[in-house]
Amino acid sequence: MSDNGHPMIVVEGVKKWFGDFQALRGVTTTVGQRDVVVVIGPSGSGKSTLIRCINRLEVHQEGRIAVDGIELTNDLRNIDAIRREVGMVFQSFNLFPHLTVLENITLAPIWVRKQTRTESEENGMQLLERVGIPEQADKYPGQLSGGQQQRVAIARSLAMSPKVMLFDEPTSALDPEMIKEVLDVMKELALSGMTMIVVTHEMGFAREVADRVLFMDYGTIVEEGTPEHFFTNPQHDRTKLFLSQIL
Amino acid sequence: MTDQPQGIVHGVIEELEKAPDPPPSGPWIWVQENLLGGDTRLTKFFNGLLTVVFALIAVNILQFLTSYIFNPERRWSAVTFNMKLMMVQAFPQADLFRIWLSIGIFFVLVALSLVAWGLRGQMSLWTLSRGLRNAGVFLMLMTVMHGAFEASKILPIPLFSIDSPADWSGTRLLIFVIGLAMFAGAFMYLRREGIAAKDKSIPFLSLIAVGMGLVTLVIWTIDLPIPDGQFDETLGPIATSTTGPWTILFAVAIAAYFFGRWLIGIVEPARLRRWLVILWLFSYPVIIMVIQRKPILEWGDILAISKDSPLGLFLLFSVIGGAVIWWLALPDSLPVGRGIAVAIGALLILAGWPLEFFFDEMPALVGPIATLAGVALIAGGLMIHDRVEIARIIGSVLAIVALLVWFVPMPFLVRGLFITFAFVAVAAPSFGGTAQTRNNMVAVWVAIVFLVVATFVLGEAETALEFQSTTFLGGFNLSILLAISGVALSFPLGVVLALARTSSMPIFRLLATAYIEIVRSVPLITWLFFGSVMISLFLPGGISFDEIVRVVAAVSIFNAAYVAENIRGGLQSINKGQYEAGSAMGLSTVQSTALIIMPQAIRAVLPALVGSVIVSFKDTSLVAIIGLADVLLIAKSFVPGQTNPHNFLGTQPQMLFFIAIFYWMFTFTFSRMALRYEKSLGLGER
Amino acid sequence: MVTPLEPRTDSGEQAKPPFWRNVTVLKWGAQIGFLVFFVWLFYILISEAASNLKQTGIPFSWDFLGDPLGVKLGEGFNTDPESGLEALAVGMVNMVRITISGIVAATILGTIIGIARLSSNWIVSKVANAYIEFFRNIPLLVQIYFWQALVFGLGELTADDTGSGMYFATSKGVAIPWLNPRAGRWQYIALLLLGGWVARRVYKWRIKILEEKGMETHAMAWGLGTFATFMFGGWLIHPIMGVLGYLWSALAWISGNVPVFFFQVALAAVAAWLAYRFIKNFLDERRTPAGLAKLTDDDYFRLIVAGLLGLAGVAFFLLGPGNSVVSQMLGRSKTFAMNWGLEPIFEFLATKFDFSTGVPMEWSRPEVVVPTRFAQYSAEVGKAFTPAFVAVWIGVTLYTAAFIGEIVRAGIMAVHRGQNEAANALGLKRGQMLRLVVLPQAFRIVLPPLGSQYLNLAKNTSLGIAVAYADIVQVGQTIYNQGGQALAVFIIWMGFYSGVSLLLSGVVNYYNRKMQLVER
Ligand SMILES: Nc1ncnc2c1ncn2[C@@H]1O[C@H](COP(=O)(O)OP(=O)(O)OP(=O)(O)O)[C@@H](O)[C@H]1O
Ligand SMILES: [Mg+2]
Repeated sequence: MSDNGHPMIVVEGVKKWFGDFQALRGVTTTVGQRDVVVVIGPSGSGKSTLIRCINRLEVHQEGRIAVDGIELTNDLRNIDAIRREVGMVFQSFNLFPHLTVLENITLAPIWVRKQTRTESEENGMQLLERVGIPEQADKYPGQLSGGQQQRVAIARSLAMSPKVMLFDEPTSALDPEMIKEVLDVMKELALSGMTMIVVTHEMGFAREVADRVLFMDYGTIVEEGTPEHFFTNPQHDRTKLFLSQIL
Repeated sequence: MTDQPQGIVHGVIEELEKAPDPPPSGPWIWVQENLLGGDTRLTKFFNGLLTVVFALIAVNILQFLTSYIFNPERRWSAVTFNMKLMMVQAFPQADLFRIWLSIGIFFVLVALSLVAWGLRGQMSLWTLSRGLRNAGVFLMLMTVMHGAFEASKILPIPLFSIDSPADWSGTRLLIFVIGLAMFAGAFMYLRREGIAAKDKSIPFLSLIAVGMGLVTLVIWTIDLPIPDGQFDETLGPIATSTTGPWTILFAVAIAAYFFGRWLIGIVEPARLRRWLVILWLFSYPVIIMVIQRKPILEWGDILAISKDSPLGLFLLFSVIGGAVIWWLALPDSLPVGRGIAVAIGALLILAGWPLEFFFDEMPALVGPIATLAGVALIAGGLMIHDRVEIARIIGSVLAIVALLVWFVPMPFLVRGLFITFAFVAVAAPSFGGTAQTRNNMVAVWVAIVFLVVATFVLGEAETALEFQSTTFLGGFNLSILLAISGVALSFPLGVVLALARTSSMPIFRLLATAYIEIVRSVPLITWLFFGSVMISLFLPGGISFDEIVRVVAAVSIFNAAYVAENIRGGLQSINKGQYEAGSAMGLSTVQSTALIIMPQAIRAVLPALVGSVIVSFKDTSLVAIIGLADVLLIAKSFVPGQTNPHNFLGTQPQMLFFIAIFYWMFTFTFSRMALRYEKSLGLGER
Repeated sequence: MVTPLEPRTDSGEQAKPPFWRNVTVLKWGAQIGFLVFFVWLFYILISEAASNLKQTGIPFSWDFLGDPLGVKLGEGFNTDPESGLEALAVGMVNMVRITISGIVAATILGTIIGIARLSSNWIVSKVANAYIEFFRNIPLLVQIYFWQALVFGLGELTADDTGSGMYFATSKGVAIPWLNPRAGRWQYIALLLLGGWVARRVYKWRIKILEEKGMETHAMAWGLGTFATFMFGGWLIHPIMGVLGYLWSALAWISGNVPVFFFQVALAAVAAWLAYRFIKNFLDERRTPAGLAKLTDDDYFRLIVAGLLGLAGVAFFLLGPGNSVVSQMLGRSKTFAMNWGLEPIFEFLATKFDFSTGVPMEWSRPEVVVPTRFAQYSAEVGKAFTPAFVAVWIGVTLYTAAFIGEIVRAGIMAVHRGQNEAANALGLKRGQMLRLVVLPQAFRIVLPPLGSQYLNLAKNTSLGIAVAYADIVQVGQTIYNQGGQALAVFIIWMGFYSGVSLLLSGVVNYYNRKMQLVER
């Protein structure tokens, strides 16, 4: 499963409280290199919280998280390193409205990876081609459709050449016809061997692409398994109920 | 992905029904609707009554204005004769070209910027001609007001105004004719075009050009009152020393505009903009310190090669500082970095104590602090294994040391340079990177050092101008300087305060909140007293600034609190997702703030910031209270105090009248422009 | 199904990074480092100032508070103050006087202009618009100077002006008829206060009936009627409030004879109790079934500040009165400070309250007492205003009214859309609509910017110094021009204006919160 001996992401007994509300109650899982893991679960079950803990947008209070062998602690160096290796795509795109599409993409390579402008712009154009919108390079995010914006957001994350990509419901703010554009890009990404954790309600995507599906509820992983197992033969009552509601 | 509909269905437009005829209109209907409107008789009557009352108020005001302005007792020559005094105070006549040059630079920069930023607003002919029509009516009414006065002798029109104006029939006729012409032209045009005029528009810039042409025409032809003996006045032409330069300046502005049009064809707009920003930044000190001040520069002293001559300091700081900054911005040079950290640390330890040999009266703390800093550097250099971390820490330590140096008694210039160095050193690791960025940073640093050194050299230099007042700046010139400096200097402080107040770190938040709230609760005038009387108290012995500098400092302290509150509004309006996206991409807090958050925040609150610029322009008048000779003080006290060669005693009310109109024109124009801009941003809408 | 909540822990098992890379440590290190730097900077500045002052030969001191001023003030309750402190008090009262009257006048005028601006009558709205554009675009100082010049141009009082007139407008000032207080005012005011309280109770009672029975009870009319009864009836029966005189005498006796220590302990206990109450309420609000919620930095801050304030209050009350520094600062004998001035206050009140039947107030016209001499400013007849007062008052009122007009207009416009139609659809009458729908909402929108205009007005009165209006800034300037204690005066200014701002914004915030509550 792994190329150099250790799994890509290790999550061990992670607990997280917001005030006195416990959002994660001991989550343990491992994501191997090149794995695509889809996380599903009802609203408020802690899916977003979990993946936001992985790149330290939220701070977990108990347990261990390690990415590519680097442990997430209060250590500035580790935090920086992990953020450089983990890309994230948000539900609401979060593109920078005052920068053009290309500038959005080259910002981090220039200031974090210390690339030259020409180098990063070339790379950026390649990524835009990969997500299928090279002609939009000089527009501002406000001028693009939702699907195009989300593809720019993906390109922007890829520009940092991350080892892991996190997706938090990347398609739920989109109209149906735009969802496909984005999912296609994600599929292509998965095929190219990127390690991905995807929170989504797109069951088709999960079936087709995922190596593993996690079902979360009340801040824990209730059930996990391969898509076939998961969709055809769920074990847990909660899972069955959930699947019966959404399928 | 481009699946827009390909064909357009024809015929839809023809099939649309015609809108019903517009409701009938006409003057009488207009009057009924707008002056006598109402549902019932009672409301109609009430509305009519209101109309009469307010019409009387309006008539009285107009009558007051005309009879005040055209009264023989007014001595408008007090205004025209003292125009120069009010604009630039006692600026020597022979050096007046310096003022014209400054205005010229401003005009040229404005013209070029208009091109570079592509600001070509359009004004619809509808708005324009309606404005002209109304202005024409106003002018005609003003002249007719005289008739109202005459009529009030027979008819029971209650007029509370002062006496009938003198015989101004010539002027009156002229004004009436102009008004009539404006009204008639605009009216005919509107008649002919109707609503269609709404779709036609002319560029603003050509309007401005026409305006400048008209002004030129007027200043060459019009006669203004000129004192003639002690109490009489005649009409005379405006001095050619005024008309000539204005004409040339207008021509230059227009020429500069076309030059810009040509330039933009061969230079990339972005590049032009970058250069213009730099030019704008430079123009401000250059105008104030060089052009208008005419400093006497002792080139021998400045260019001497020694450890405390300006050139020496410039070389020292730009070379050593540049090297340090270059290194701080270096991405990967771990072993070297460690070595340098250790070396600098050792140097600090060694030099910390001996520094006292160079400077008499070193505060006792400096030695130990330098030692501590050195120890910290060595420890850091040996222990830390990541380059950026070292750079960050060294940057901060250097910054602290540089800030501390402020309190070491030594030439002011050196302190200033150290302070500047502190800021650049902290920023360097965050914004370093490729060879190109590094070189840029060093270039920026050298430019900053040059600016600081030049500012100090120029500030220290005596001026070659001979003037009778205490400063070379006075009158409206001073007001403008105060307004611009107050805003420009308060801006960086305001940004820092706003960031601190919205920070997640409670101590920063507390300090910033305390600053903002305390500063805002105390009126500006007390801050001006603070500036003019108290600031020197807090400065290390022997350092003193010109009063204007102190006042600018006080104004900046005050403005910063308001700027901070405005920017805070912008910061709070920014989606949390923007911060998250920034950190998810690995940007540090400083980087996301500077590159993502701040630009958006400032853009969001630009209208509010413009509003506070207007306020601070009005507030510059307060310096009259502490005795700085701004345009208000001159108009209110200096001019009415003149008895020789002409007697202007007793002209104070009319000077105040004039100054009120003068300020009004500027603020009104400015706020209208701001409003337009705000609307174009779509922010004015709810 | 739901696993039980675990108590919150902050784990110690995560690997601890070295401190120079620990984000938490760095965060707090930076803050504490900066705080230390800041304190040090402050210390340096202060010591620099101290040494500079020593060099000029005028060391910092508060002595001027007790020393006589030696200059007459332009106006105020005491134009010839005995001490610097008293002079400053006169200045403060003058500032407050012009602020309050200015706020009232500007609010009325501004509201009228704001409404006129929205009038469907063309000329009315144009005149209002012209007013706004004119007054808000000219610097206030220019306007104040202009009004001053206008008053100075009014002409002298001539020998023909004798006796009492409707008004005098001369270059020495302006005098108008005025309702001047007379002997019975104290009883009358007490009665009015009582009336206000009773009217409020009546109003609430009627509202309660309305809510219970669901019928129109005219609560407002009842309340106003009750107050009016007190107002008119009180004019005749106010002497009965003279009984309060016994109460004041008794209180004066008590405060003179009960040991000071008793008051100190009582007040200290109140301070401590208030702080305790605040902290307890605060924590209660954040207590959930699963234990205490995580407190944010802000919460900790508030708790600490509340605690510190409580402690400071206790310390002040216990140590303050006996502390010679405070009593010296007050420039009074120790005994005065010892009983907090309560005894003299009560004694003063006791002398004012008796059963005398004099009218509370009297309408009187201004009078020229000495021919060609303008009515003195403190005259019992009519009311005379100095040119400085007139200039500043008109200036700040007209200027602020322009801004208030804009605010009122915006507020009404903001409500108008939609709400109007909704109210119409509900079948409300026009008056009801205004009263029940538009005005309450407009008021809520208008209140915050209105509050900041009030603050601006309060600060703008300081421009009075330009026309020598004896407000706190002018008095302060006089003081430091004489004794050179600029720094001390500046500290007083800062304290005073911060206090005024806090008070004003406190009042505005209070109403704001009330309005927001109504919304829910
Ligand atoms: N910043 C926060 N403060 C307090 N509670 C929070 C915060 N963020 C999340 N929560 C709570 O934590 C729980 C888990 O939230 P999370 O966003 O992870 O759910 P989710 O599974 O992503 O749901 P959804 O499908 O709706 O996105 C929710 O009950 C939510 O209310
Ligand atoms: Mg979520």
